[in-house]
Amino acid sequence: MTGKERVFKAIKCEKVDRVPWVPFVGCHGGSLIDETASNYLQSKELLVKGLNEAIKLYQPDGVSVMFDLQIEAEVLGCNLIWADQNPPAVSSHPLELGVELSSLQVPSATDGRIGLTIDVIKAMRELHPDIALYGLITGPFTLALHLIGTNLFMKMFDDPNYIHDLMRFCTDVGLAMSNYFIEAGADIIAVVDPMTSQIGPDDFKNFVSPYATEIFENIHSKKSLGSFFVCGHAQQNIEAMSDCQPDNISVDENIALDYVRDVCLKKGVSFGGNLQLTATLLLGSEEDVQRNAVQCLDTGGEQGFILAPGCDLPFATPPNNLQAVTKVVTDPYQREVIKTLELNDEAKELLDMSEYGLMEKVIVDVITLDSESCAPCQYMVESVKAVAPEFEGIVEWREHKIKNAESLTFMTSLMVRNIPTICIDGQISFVSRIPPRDELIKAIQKRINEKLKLRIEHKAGTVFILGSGCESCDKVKENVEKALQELGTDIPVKIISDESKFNEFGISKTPAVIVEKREVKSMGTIPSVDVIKEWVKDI
Amino acid sequence: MKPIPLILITGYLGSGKTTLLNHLLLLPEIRTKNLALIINEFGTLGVDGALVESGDYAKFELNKGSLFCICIKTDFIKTLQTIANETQPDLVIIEATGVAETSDLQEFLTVPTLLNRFYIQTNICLADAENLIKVLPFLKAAKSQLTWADGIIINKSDLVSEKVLTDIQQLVKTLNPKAPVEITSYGKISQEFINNIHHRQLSGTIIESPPDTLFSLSFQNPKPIEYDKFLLLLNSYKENILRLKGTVNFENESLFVEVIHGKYLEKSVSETKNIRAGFSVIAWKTDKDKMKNAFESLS
Repeated sequence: MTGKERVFKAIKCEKVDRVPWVPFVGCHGGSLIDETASNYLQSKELLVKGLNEAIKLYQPDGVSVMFDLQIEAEVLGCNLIWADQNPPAVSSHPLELGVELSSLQVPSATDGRIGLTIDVIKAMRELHPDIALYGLITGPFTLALHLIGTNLFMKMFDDPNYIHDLMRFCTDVGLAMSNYFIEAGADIIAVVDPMTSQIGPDDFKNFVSPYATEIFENIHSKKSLGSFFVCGHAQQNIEAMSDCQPDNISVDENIALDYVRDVCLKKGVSFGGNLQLTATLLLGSEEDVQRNAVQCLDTGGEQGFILAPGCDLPFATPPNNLQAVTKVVTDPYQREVIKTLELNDEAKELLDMSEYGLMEKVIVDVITLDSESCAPCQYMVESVKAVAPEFEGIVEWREHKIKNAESLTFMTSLMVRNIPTICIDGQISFVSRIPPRDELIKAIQKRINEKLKLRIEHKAGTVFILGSGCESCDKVKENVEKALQELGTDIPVKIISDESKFNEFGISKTPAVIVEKREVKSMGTIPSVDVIKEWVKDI
Repeated sequence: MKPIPLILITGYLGSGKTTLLNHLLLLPEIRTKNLALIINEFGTLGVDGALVESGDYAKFELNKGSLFCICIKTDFIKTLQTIANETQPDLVIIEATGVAETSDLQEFLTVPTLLNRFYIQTNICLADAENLIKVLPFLKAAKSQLTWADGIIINKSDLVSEKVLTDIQQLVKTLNPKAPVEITSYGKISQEFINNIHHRQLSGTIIESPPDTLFSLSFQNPKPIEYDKFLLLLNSYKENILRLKGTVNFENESLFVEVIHGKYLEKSVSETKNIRAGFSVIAWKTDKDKMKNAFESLS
């Protein structure tokens, strides 16, 4: 199933092989190619480059081609303030400054940045026939607000007919924009109307519903699909939105996803969005992001749900975080891991693993979800099992299924974050990748060698021969040297002939031989009194 | 590090936030402080020509014009981080947009990077006496800002009658019984008023006031109405209709009708540009559906 097919099916509430993933890359595309938002949103070449980069990094099923709700407003005479890390902002409202509504014209396909957006849709269509392309238009109510400013709300009482005229015009603009984008090759028209979150359902039905419905009907007449985007606290209007005949509704983190799911599915409308933009995608860790994505996936369910951020991705969203979302969407095991980790979040105390793997044998730990139910886990366990006989008696291997609480504590203590993972003597060695036999043998052998080297380095000794120069002393010395030669070792031999030092060794008769064995017990750490006692008892 | 106090100013665009801010900047207890300002209004300067007076303080403008609260969040958090780490003032004053939800702004302060760096000293909401009633039923944020406020200033009191002022006071008390209310013009308030407002940490999402607190109804293109019956109905709802405006199709002629806090006005349609029939009502303290039915059954 291609990404495009997946998005299409999900939008129509049909069965999919997995939930589609649509990161709304707007100005964020600029940050991927080191360009400011203002340069990015005004250049076809940069937009295509940034989107290609996003597609490469995030493997999406669909993308928004442009995320800028000021394109129509700019053409219609609103002043824009450009920013380096944000889409531009509208700073003046022509209808408030005396421009007559009747003098405004529906923009043509070449006005302002409309032509540029059409070109980008065409280019992306050719480069990525298998990815669903979202063409975004400014929703009529939001465009009306751009044109008149917040006087809009007062005029809803003072002059509702004027607001209806204004909505009529903004709807004509929306109809034209959707037609331009559909002709250019966009698969889904997103009618983005965030400002509707500011009004209640009665006013929504009065001032928005007839117009939005007209736009969605037009999209359907062109055999295209329509999504209704809203952000902010818009829960009160979700039902009214779903009555405007969109195929899909997309919301941000301000509305509970289960509520949207229940309202939409009842009406046969698919839904999506809800990934947290700032607190999680922008400021959170990869793990935070994955948790949030898993929550959304769990709540959204497998039919009629599209995983997407709540709105335009913040410019500086770390690509790693979005790749982390890709991972949980495409890898069911990663999802399981996140869920298991979450269940044990307030996990018990961690183990002190600082001395793990210092025993004689080399320990190979395979951390899995459960090798019986997770295929990659099974392969990894088998690969270890297969090389184990090569190291019989030297290497010990174990599987830790993190479904067990103690294995989870073990995993967390070793700072393992991915499943499956192989640790050799507590060191993370292979993450989510089944090592080829030779590579695994090499890695274990390397550890055996290291340990041997350590053991040699940490053990040393001296042979002392005590004697005052008599004949038998010479004989003892000769025998010691011969013995060492025959053993092939170079342990130092020290001859003590100073009689005053014999007492220090506790010797009263010579010749005498003393073997002193030294063992490094700790290095660079402060051993506790109990530990030192054990060492001393050993003497 | 000691958390930095914040004064949050909310209120519908045109309620006089900037004028209030300028007034605050003159108060000795504020003027002498090391200050930072965050301006987050997206309105047109032309509305009342108000600009923040220049002075000795750090001023941050949040992507002026960005309407979309969820998008402003990123900038807001970034700005507060800069203020906490670099500017380190004694006091921050935030002028929020008229469409911001106070609960959102409060929640932004809880992201890990800002936790315990700031606290809300007080959040003051402005209401302009002239337009409040017209805006409240339509703009959700206008209502929730008042509901969440620690102190409320009813501004531009010089522009309305005593009756309007009394109604507004009563309405504000219904929405937010706990917040002290000050009635003023030109944003003039005393330091004492500011000092006497204490922040109440509310939690949860937007508090919805009961639906009959204040509502609007709209009647488009109604069929002809009997003049006498219409006036009778208005009279029976005398205590409930705060505003009514529009063109009513009476049996003999269409009239432009307006009710402002009990005062009834009518003009022949030719005097106004508003020729399409239809009228809107803003009312309170009664059942919305009942009133709707009552007007609809006139024709």
